Amino acid sequence: MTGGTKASAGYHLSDTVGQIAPGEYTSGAYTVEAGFQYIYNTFNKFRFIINDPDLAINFGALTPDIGVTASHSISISCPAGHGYQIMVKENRPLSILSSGQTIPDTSCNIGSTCTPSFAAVWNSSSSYGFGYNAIGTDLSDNPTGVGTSQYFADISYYRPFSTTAQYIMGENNPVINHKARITYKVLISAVQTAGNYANSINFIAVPNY
Amino acid sequence: MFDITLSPSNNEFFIKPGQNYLLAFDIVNNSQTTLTLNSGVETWLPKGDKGEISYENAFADPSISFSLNNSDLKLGQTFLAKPNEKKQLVLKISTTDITSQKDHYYTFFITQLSADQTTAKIGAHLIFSTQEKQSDSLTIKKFSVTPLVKDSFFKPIKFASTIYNNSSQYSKLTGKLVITKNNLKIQELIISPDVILGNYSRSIRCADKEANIIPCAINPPFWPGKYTATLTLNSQKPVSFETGFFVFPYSVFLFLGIISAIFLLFYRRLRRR
Repeated sequence: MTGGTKASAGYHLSDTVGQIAPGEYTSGAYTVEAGFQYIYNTFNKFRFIINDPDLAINFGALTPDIGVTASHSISISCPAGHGYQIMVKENRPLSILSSGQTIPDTSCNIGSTCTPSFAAVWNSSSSYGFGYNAIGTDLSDNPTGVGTSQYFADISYYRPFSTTAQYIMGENNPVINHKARITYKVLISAVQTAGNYANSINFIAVPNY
Repeated sequence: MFDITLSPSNNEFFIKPGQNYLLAFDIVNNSQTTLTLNSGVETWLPKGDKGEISYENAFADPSISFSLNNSDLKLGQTFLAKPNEKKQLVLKISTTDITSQKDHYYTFFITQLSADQTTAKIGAHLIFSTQEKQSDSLTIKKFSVTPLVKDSFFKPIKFASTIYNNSSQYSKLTGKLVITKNNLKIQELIISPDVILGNYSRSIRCADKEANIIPCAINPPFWPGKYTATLTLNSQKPVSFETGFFVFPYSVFLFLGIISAIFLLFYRRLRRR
């Protein structure tokens, strides 16, 4: 039984020969990771966190013409990687499942239209809908725009969700614990049908290759 | 709370058509909540020149199939990850004799399942070739040195380059960027061994001797004079590109010019009195 890395002028080989029991074995304070070349990649880890204990945003009872926001943070680490990308999508617009009634996805302020891939200012109390902002923050939650500035200029910029994944954050270098604050905003008109509206937001985190 | 670590996150390998490949992934639930998870594989296309990807309009090769080699779990089957639990999933990639000889790009996803909640999925990439090993063939498409006006003080001098892989097979960039002045080496930067996909471009990144990513730049102060930057890529036929640039203490002369102008102005006024 042998294994290891071998190199010559033109080749670099990593092998495990004669391994009959690959896997991880733990006994007391000792751990053996046997077989598979992943052992040379133990630093090649990718971690994604949604810092929301309930994984649920609750806007409570909405009042017409008054925007409500709620937020949570996300965090990403790829210490030995090539960077990362984070995408987001919704399963459907905010809706009442039984009736199909929806709160439409926002198009931001009239005159500064936003789309699922383009953010614009949304602070008008007469532009109704549901949207979100993503802003890179430091560990103390102060906005820095790191990772998000190419998608959202600042915290006044919003985009509507889409059922196809849209990029919201990305960097091209190894990062450890880079955070962003995701702010969800909903604003309804007086004619919005009463009821419980819900949808599911899906975050997708992938490393750069 | 969603808090998952997936490793290894980037995987490159070769498979001969008709053969299989096993890849072990570690999944750690770092949260204090039991998560309901699922596994799956999706294909992607490269986007941009910095290692980004896109899942739009990417079609999988039907002759390649994926399954889990775990005895108690199938690909796509729901499983639970308890708080701080580490699980190992062994992905089996199966090809057939008719699998087209090219490079394939996939992501192995771990998806959290939840109805009407915030959910997440985290991926690790698979880049594999079902072609015979090809010779590296790289071209330096672009090599630039900024800023335009290079001063001896204040601003670093940055180097950027885009490399094109003429081969249809992925390879890894290796090489160095050497900055010299009067044939004396000022700095040597290692090119980060990033994957460059077949018939595709990639921007270079620089690394130090410990493989930490660092800016492709040299920092002031600089002695005035002519410098030479040489980018060399190791491949079957080594590729090299050399460019010269001139550094001058413009800021010092500008400062002296302003001081002289002020002095002259005062001097003339004093003489008039």
